[in-house]
Amino acid sequence: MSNDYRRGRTAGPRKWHRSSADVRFRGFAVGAVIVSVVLAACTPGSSESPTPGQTASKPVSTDLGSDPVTLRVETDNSGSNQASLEELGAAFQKNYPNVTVDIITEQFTVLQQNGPRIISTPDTPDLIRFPTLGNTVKDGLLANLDPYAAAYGWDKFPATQLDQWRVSADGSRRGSGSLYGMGLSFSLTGTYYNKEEAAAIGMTTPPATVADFEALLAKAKAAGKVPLLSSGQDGNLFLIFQALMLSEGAKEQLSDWVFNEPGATIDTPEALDAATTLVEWTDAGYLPSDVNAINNTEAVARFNSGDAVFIYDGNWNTATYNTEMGENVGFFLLPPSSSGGKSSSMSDPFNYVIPAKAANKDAAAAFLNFAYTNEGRAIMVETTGQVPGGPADADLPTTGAGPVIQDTLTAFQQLNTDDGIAPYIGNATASIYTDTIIPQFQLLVAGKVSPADFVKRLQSDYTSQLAP
Amino acid sequence: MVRARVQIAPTIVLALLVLLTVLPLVSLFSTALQPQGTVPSGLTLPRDPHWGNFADAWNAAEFLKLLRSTLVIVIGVVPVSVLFATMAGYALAQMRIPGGGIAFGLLIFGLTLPFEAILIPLYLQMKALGLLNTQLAIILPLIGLYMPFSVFWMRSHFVNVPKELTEAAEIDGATARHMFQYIQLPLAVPAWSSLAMLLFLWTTNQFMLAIVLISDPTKRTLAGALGAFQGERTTNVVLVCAVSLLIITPTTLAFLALQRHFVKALLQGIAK
Amino acid sequence: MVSINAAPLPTLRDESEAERPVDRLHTVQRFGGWLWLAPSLLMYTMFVLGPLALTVQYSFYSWDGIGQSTWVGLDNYGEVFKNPELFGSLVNAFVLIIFFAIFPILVGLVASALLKDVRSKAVGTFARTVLFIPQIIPLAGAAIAWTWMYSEGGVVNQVLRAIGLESLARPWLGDFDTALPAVGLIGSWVAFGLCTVLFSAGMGKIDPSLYEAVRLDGAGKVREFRTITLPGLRQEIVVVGTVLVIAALASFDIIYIATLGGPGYETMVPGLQIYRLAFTAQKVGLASALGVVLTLLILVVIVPLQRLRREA
Repeated sequence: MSNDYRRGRTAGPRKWHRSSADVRFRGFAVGAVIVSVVLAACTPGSSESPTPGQTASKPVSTDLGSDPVTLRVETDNSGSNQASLEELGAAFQKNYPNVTVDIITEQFTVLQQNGPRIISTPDTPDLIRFPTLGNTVKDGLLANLDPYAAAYGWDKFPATQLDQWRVSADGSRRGSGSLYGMGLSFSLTGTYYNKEEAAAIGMTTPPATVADFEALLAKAKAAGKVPLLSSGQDGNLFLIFQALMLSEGAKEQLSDWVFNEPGATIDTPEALDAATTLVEWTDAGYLPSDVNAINNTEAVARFNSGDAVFIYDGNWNTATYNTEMGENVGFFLLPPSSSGGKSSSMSDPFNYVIPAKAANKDAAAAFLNFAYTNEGRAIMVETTGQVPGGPADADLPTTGAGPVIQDTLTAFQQLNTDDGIAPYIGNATASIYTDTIIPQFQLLVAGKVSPADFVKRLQSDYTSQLAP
Repeated sequence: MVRARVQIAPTIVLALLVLLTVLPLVSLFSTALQPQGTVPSGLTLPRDPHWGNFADAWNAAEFLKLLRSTLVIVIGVVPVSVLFATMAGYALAQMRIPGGGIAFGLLIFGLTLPFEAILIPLYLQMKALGLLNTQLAIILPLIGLYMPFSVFWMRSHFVNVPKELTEAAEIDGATARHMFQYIQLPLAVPAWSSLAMLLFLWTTNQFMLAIVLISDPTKRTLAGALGAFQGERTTNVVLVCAVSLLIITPTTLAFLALQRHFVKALLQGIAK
Repeated sequence: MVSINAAPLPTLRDESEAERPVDRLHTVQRFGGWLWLAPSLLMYTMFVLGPLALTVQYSFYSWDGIGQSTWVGLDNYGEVFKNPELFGSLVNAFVLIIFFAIFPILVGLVASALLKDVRSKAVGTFARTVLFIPQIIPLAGAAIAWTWMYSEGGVVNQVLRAIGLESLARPWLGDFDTALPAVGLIGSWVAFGLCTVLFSAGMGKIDPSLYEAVRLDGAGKVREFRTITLPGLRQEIVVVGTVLVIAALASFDIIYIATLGGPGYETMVPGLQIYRLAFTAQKVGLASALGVVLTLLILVVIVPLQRLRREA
């Protein structure tokens, strides 16, 4: 073998075919190398140091001019969000013919996780649904809305509507400070009930105390129905837990905790009571035995098929209940623990922010404002059945759509009167929902962790997640 | 008599295996045909098949946009990867390259690397390059990530080409480029065409990189778009099933059309 | 141009290079060879090796990915092994090896042994095509299909109820005891077709005279399998085993879609944990440390496995 090699070697001067194609090929090879170098060249670009709370120094304007503008709005694909925004967008475009409204959707968990990343790219939408604040104010990713609030008069709305998205200058505390987000409408949590089934177990009016509600659950169980539906796979169990805490009057405690007030804690007697009650209800069979395996979709579907009497859910599903069950479904807030107490429930703005890097901030603000006009509010109620934000003296939209929607509107009115709006504990830190709440509640109702350990775990995760 | 008995057992086994294989897909299909908004139980023959669900799925997934995006990614990844890997495989197999062994060793190490290990730096790198949420964000890393396997694959082919061939060509005065373009490349068609098929498959099925680096589901790969349709707040199980079926259809069709080559290629590859 | 005879060339077994000197193109200057290697190596370095080095670097810091970072030395690694949820995810990954690799290989071996005597070619091709489909669809798609099958009213429970085993029906993916095996079985489904087809093809290459010899010795089917078939399939078993073990340890797609690590932390795997830590909890340093540990773990398992390939 090596002979052949040497033979070839000494076989005389080699006739090389240096054709032009050859040179071209070598050139190509070198070119390929250069191309891949250029392709792969790491020019770490942005070394921008984000300054909290600062936005472009361009003054805000309520006049959108006449140049064509494409307003990009991103929202989550739950319920009828997309439909409502599209209708809102169509109506908005009639008032501002030079603006085209483009709606993009993404699933809720992805928005919650990817939100900060999405808005930090130059490609960011102009208005985006933003469930959790995270570090975005501190990192300077959101536009300060104070100028718009002043220009459009949002600062005259009921304060509790705006509080949840007021953030201190260093981004560490909420509840006061500059405004960074606005809710087009508000979520509302409570108990939906199947009117037929409820009447069958003897419920004539919504229960006045938690004890009354518990008695109803027992009756439902005895009648062979699923008393209370919820979903453990996606963490919605926490809604019941928090509602129980609120009925014991823990609203201030919880608000402080969610707003990250220094020294706030959830390791309290009320929390322990609520966790214990939740476990008792699960053990008594008031919740379905496979609660950890079902997600919100399936829970809603089961309720709609008539298997259950009550479901603890949020009004993002009101439209679905209304369509599927029509006259047969109603809504009430979880009552306080003692009769005559103030009502309190979780509610938060379906919040939208204008990214600091957005190209069309003025258009985004105008769109927001449109949602608070009577026309916009009516559209929101019609398309989503949700409670719209807006001035306290705006018309309460009446809808012929269904009793359950009217129930939610009335309930929200009650909440405003009692000043009972509380923020969701799922928003306490950027990751507490996916990292702590979902798994820990699953462990709790499966009996794998004691209520005392559970509450301690909530607090310790909260602390470590808030640590810089 | 004995032969007949022997034939029954394998047939039953085969039937069982085939049944088990298609069952999940059939279940998806039967659900996709149910009326939307319901939660049908398992496998039920739809009394009134809602074929329209697939049309809805098409729109919900913005399927055309998704297909186009996937095509862009595939075109960006596969030809370049195959070309680079063939060149490298050829060189490693047929040329004496100082330090070539080290290069090959580095590549082999990459065969075992989990993509998760480089997810974070890739994300930050793409962010710095301003490529997040574009197809390039997937194309570039995938080319790099495919190099270990692809170079190994092509090298295995070239190593088995007998040197008498190169000898004969050299005597005729051919250069490396000649050799490569006119002899080795055509000879290697089975190798690089099957590589291309494999890379095509892996690219359309790439999920993790797609959901991390591209936030708009319609700009991802086919598989990546699935990430947007599974989540706690989707309200339509039937639609999710229909969309899933829609998404797995293109690659399945491609596979069925080319299955003979495909399976042969994979089996040969593993035998190497 | 040299004309080429298009007949297939004899394939030679790839022995170690030292034994068989391949003719080098001495007409190419020695470093010219690097021109051929460069594009692939450049892409590989820029988008794989470079990032890997960065991951190692990040693992020694505490960082949220955006702001300032703090040096913490080996603390992150300590956390990986001390924190029950992080360590648990590594344990889960190992459990998945049983389902993703061992079980499908066993099924494949048994099935291909039983199928050895199937004569019909049409049946063979049809079966081969169908059995390959799980390898063609994306893992996320498989997970969606199986999530649906595992649901309360899904096929699995439907079948159990139909055959009278109603007491066994349960929400497989939501039950703390069954979630991990249930997820594992999805991986089994993805792999068993591949193993069956692979081993069938491999068996076809085993010299039939070996079988005859051992049968003359009076060996039954089992001994025949153990002494001839198994060693003959050694190469295939190790290669597919390697691929499947890596799939188990690095799993992400299936768990992301099916359970997101739940219920509780029952099905959490390192891949998903890295994703969560980095992008939700914004603990880049810890996530990187876990990534490095995962990479090393894979090597620790895979490298010894390769020794099984070359045996006397």
